[in-house]
Amino acid sequence: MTAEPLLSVRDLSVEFRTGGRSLRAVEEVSFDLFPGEVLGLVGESGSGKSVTAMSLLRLLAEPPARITAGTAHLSGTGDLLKLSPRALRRVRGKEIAVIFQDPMTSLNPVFTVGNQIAEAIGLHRRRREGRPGYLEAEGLLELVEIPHAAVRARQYPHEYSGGMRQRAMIAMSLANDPKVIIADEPTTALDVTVQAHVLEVLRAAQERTGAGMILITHDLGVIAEMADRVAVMYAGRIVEIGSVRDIFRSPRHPYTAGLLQSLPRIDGTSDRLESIPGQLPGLADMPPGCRFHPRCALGAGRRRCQEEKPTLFPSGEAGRAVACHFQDEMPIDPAMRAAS
Amino acid sequence: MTAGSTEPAGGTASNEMLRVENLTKHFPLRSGVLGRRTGSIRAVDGVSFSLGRGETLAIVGESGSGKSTIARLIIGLHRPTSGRVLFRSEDITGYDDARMRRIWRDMQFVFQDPHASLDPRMRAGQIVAEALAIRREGTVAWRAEEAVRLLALVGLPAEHATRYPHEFSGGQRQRLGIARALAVRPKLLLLDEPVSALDVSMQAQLINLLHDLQAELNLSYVFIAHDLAVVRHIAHRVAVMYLGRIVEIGPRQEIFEQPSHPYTQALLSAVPIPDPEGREKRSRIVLRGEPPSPSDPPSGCPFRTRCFKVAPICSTEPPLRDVGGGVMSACHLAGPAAANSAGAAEAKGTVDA
Repeated sequence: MTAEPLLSVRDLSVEFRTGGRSLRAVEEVSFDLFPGEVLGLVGESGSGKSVTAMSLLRLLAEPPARITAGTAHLSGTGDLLKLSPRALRRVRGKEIAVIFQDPMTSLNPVFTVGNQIAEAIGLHRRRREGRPGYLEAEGLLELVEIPHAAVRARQYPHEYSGGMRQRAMIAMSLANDPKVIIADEPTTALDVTVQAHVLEVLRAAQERTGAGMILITHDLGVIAEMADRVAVMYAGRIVEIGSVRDIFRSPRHPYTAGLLQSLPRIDGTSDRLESIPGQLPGLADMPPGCRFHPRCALGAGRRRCQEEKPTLFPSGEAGRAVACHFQDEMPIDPAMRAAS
Repeated sequence: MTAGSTEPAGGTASNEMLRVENLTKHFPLRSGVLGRRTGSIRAVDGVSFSLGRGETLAIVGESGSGKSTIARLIIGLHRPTSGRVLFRSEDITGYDDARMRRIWRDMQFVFQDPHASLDPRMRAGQIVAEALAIRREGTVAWRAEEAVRLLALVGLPAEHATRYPHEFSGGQRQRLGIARALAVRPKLLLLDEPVSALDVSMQAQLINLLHDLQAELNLSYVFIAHDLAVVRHIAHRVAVMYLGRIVEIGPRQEIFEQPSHPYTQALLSAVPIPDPEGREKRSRIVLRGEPPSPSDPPSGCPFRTRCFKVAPICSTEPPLRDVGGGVMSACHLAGPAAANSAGAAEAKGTVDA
């Protein structure tokens, strides 16, 4: 990728203070987001994927959260982590829009959907440009394939189905032509047939605006369908980043490989699944060294894995980086399907 | 499958564990200050199936399809509006708690969120031992020992017996829920979305555990899930539900590889495939209509408002009928499974265009 990144995150660390202890939820996270691309952030519970994204817009309650290190440079704006509250408000919803998992918590139940979309447009508009009205809201609702937009714009959120609400949220996120869209588990609460439609709308919206999108999900299927590049997170750190094709074809971190092999698949043929032994570590009891080592077959019994934290190291294809001391020992093209 | 039968195949009479006949549950819909009955939600509408010993039947469907209500009707948490539940040939429909207590020794329930069903003030060992006490078996010491054995059976080490539920991870709590269910030595487990709340790496462990337990204890499972990929790895037979009805039921391989009902086809085609290769070329049936409400289902075929194959005949209700390969399908247009896949490909083209 030769273009300048839209967003450049470097060495981001976030802690949570509870009960006199500091728990590191995100540690030394670095990535770039380029214009027009979809970057997937994928991981299991506690991997820090949402905390990473929310800390970029300072949407975490501080305290208990505290950004202890790092920079997040947004092109044309500067370091997001150093912005004044006033400057931040100008960025939120304008330069960077967020789509959350549960639209009911972001939509106001006592205003019509059209009213709220118009308000979102008006927030970032100069007074002399006039007040945006239902007409503009209707246009956006049509864009996200909400039928009878003129009627729907005058309805309240509870009159919408779950999939329609999420599409309305996508419409609202597009209201100000953002440079970056952060979608945090946008389809996790939806049924699979509804998810297919919402993802399609989301993809069309992103392509139309040319925005860069950070797509946060635990679902590797959604990543494979949507993302151009993917960052795999485990226990607060990025363990592998690269193009979605490279990573799915030939994962080079033992965690990524294990995760792909343990996926149930509708085209699978075996009953049993390969599984990663052990449990996800809790924030309070992170293993020293590589955080994955207690569950890792490659690192089993190796001192270096127990003591030294592996950092992201460029590996193989352009833009690929892996945080594993022994990544060279990973098979080059393992059978990715659990079934064979 | 019994020839000429109108009910889907399951166990033969001799090893049949569970039979559900025409099961229906309507919940009253009340409104106004007087709580007058203004309608009803047809949560389950004429569902029939049977399940053999050592067999897994998966019931899949999206929200509001009635899949969880079926499990609750079987275990006696709800009373059916009509229809029958037969457990090992005994008609248990409408049994009160006193009579169900004997049945519950053989039929146990595992919930999606074990946290809500485990007493937070009891230790893991006590939780399992309590279930053993219900059978009034053995001494206190024997039960404690047995609890440790059951915990080991589900992969929890002995030292975990003294831990409280909150000290466990989600996957471990689900194991504990299963250990408790197994304490009474049941023959049938009703599993309601048992792995849905778990992370992928924990999901795989639990699916493998369920396989092991089934092989070892010859258990029958009713496995309720919305995740088709999980179902592919656990079910012997699959029932697909839409708005309270079974729209298609049959052996796993037929359902996944040659689905005959347009809803099953759309459902399978909507599942994201974890493989980025060739994703641009993949055709997908995207359903555009909104799912109808179970309080006001469409007349005729319940799926016709969203169906991509809809035809005039769909205004009449399609019966669940044999379409070959052991599959029963409730679609007027469903042909023999093999001939159908060509039609599906054609339909995909028109929908995507």
